[in-house]
Amino acid sequence: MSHIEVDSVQKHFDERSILTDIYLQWRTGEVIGLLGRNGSGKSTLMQIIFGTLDAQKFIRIDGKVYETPYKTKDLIAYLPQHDFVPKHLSVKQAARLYLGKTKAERFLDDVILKPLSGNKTGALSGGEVRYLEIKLLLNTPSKFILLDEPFSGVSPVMVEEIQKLILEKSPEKGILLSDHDYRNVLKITNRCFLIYQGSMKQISGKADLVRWGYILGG
Amino acid sequence: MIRLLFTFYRSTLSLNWGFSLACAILVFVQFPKVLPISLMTAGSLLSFYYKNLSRKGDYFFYYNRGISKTQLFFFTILMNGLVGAMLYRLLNHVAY
Repeated sequence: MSHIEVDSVQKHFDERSILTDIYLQWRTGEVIGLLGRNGSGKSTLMQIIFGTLDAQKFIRIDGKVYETPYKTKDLIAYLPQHDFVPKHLSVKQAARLYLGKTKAERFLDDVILKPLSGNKTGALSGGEVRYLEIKLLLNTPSKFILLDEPFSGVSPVMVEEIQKLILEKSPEKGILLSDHDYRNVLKITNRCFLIYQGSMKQISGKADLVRWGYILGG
Repeated sequence: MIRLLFTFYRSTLSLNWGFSLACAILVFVQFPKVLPISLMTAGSLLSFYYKNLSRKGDYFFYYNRGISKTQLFFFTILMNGLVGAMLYRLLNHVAY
């Protein structure tokens, strides 16, 4: 079992404090939810953990401190809000590059991906690309996966498929996911946090979200 | 890893070759010299700059497999250097 600890994260843009002294830790086998209003710092925090955004921080994975975790292969993967698979690659090419030929065959033996395997990713719908990217990341050997808005712009049927993927892989991965669709986040996470005025608030249910003004009561 | 580096390198080629060919055609007399030199220098940098500007999101494809932007940059420069140097010798051997 692997363990990640994110401590003393502080980030300021000009004069504005986005994150102030954030602490978060989770293990493989856990799915952690991250909620927050637009501009609250969810994506910023994920990029800081991944290592592509500079900030004051302390990240320790299995007892070892990392400045830029993403530069260590098979440690951490990040799904950004935008598409990241180059549009000129076909689904099959992307799978082979990430997983190798043998594993890619099994990866593509999937109701959604099989008919699309020869298509360029630039020709897929938003939901199909999201599904492909999430499945790719979950099938890499990376122990920790950061998913930034995995349900954004995705149809309800596809959201269910993505949730299935996440839950299927969750025993071997430590997953941190953020999304505005709080119901779907609460449905699949073991623990959930809200970023409120730069700090983390643990959420145990809908009542806490009302309390912190994330949703309206009633 | 090497296959991913080549994938990135290939994605920079169309702009690099397009720009370098255009430069070489403009100074037609020096074509055998200008084409490979541009491939190794200005075309190479321009294609990388264009990637940073318009296809920034694609970098996460490589980051997620542990490859940094610096590694992609130096691999691209190295490959363009090798291809440019071979082309320089070939074209100048044929032309002069």
